[in-house]
Amino acid sequence: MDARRRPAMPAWNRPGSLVLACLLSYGVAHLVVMDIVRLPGPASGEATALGQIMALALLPVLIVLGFGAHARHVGLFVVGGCGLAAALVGAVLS
Amino acid sequence: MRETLRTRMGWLHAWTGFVGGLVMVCVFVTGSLSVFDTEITRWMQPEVRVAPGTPLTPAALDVAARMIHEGETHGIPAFLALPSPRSPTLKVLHYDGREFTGPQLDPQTGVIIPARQTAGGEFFFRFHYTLCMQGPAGILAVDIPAIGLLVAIGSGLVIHIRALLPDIVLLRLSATRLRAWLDAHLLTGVLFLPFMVMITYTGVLVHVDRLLPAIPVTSLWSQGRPVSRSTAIRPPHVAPSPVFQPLPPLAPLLAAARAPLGGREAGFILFSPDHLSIFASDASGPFLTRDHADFHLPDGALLATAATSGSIARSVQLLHGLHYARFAATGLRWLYLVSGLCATAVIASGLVLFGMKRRRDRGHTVAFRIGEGLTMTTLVGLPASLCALLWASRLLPATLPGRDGTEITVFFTVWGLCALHALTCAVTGRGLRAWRTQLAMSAVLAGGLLPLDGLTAPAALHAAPAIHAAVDGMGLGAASLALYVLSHLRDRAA
Repeated sequence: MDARRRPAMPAWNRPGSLVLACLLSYGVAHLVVMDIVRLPGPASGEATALGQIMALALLPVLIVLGFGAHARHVGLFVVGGCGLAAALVGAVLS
Repeated sequence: MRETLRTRMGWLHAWTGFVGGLVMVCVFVTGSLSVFDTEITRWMQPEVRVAPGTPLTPAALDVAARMIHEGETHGIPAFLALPSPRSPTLKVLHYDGREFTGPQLDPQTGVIIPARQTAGGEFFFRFHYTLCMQGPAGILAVDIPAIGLLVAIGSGLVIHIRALLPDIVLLRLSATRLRAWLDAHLLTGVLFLPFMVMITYTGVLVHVDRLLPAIPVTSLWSQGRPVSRSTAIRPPHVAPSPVFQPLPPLAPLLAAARAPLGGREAGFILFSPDHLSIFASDASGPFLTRDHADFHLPDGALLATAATSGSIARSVQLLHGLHYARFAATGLRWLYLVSGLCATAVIASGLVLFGMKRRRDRGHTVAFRIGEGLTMTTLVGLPASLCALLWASRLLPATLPGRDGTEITVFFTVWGLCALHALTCAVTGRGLRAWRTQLAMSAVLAGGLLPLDGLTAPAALHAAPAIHAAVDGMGLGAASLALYVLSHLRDRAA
């Protein structure tokens, strides 16, 4: 949709979608840590460290993406999709 | 107003930057000072006049070993921090539930140096990562705003991505006040962007186990369950008290540990009932390792060497090392300090801009005035209370019991009074007056460090002139900055 024709969104929508983006992003980051811990290969301690390094880098990016891409809540859906994918990978690995 | 990516990112940048920034200014200021924590401790303990590079003798090590063995038999486990170019004394330290404390020995004679108890630079370090709060709450109180800062940086990048390069060369101090502040915010923000991202990311990574533990979310809740009644009334299991073996001479063990540690200097020694572990110094390289060589007690035979290998573990060590900067030489540590202070300036200018942009429309609301009071408490009250801590370290009687705790009480009392004054004045519409009063107080406290140092510890000035010149010079710099801002506020009031 053309940005100029896009209807205005109420300001109160922002804190709510920020909280939602933070919660979803945190969930995804935590699932990434758990998935990498379950990966066959590196020792448990090393896998945990690798997972935490990656998840910590991912967390702020996911929050910005989840909050920023607001048209039809695309950002939240993308972050939620990442979470779903991470959960599926976790289910396969466990 | 139409919702676009830019307006949405602007809102995210403003609010995460403001809320997170109030905490992160405190974290960045104390973190920047922590780069020189050992030197600040030496400034706060003028009785310690051991010259750097004084050789460590076997006699001094034997005295320390005797003290440690005596402490162990009385149930006070201690460890030995070895002299380094930054801290030339030998320290027998134990954890008192809040910090590491203990006597300092002359590295040549082993005589205890009658140094005053002080919170020291260690306080800046502890405040930097816990805000002096106990337990995991303190670490999370720093880590969550740090994530907020990373979000603010990300959203700021989205807003200014097209103008990143022009922003480096754009500073219009003669433009309107809002434009000048914005230019200063962008200029420092773009220049120190890599440092800010690196130091914030590696800082959160140090305690990432608290934020992103590798255990299922359901286990997080079950960990917090109250103890069941049957468990609570069970008598505690009393472990037999360990028998501590006598310690062998430490000097030969230090020499023997050099080869297993890959030629690195030893940093500290930990003691167990049946063995001791000599750890590599943190200053020996950018990888912050806990590599150590274990020796059997009481005969001192080498038991094992623990050295971390593996690319992931080494990467983590490097990331930690980059944050702690203990490997850095003096010049690089100054660069860390300046970069940290410039990052503080980015956040501080962001806090000021947040208020300036909203003053016209919402300046009359209580919420805005509370925000202004909190900004003042952070930007002016914190430096004033840090200076008050340094004043307390010199003015409190040197033999006062619990002296270090009293210094910390002085710090929080001054900061609390600054907060009360700022909030009261801001809410009653006298915010500008409060800025001027607190800036003047900060200038007096910071500028007064030089005469205070000269009057209370003239001998220490001669013993370690570089350290005293640096601390007193930083005080003069802070006072000049406060006076500069004060003069601008006076012009505005006129």
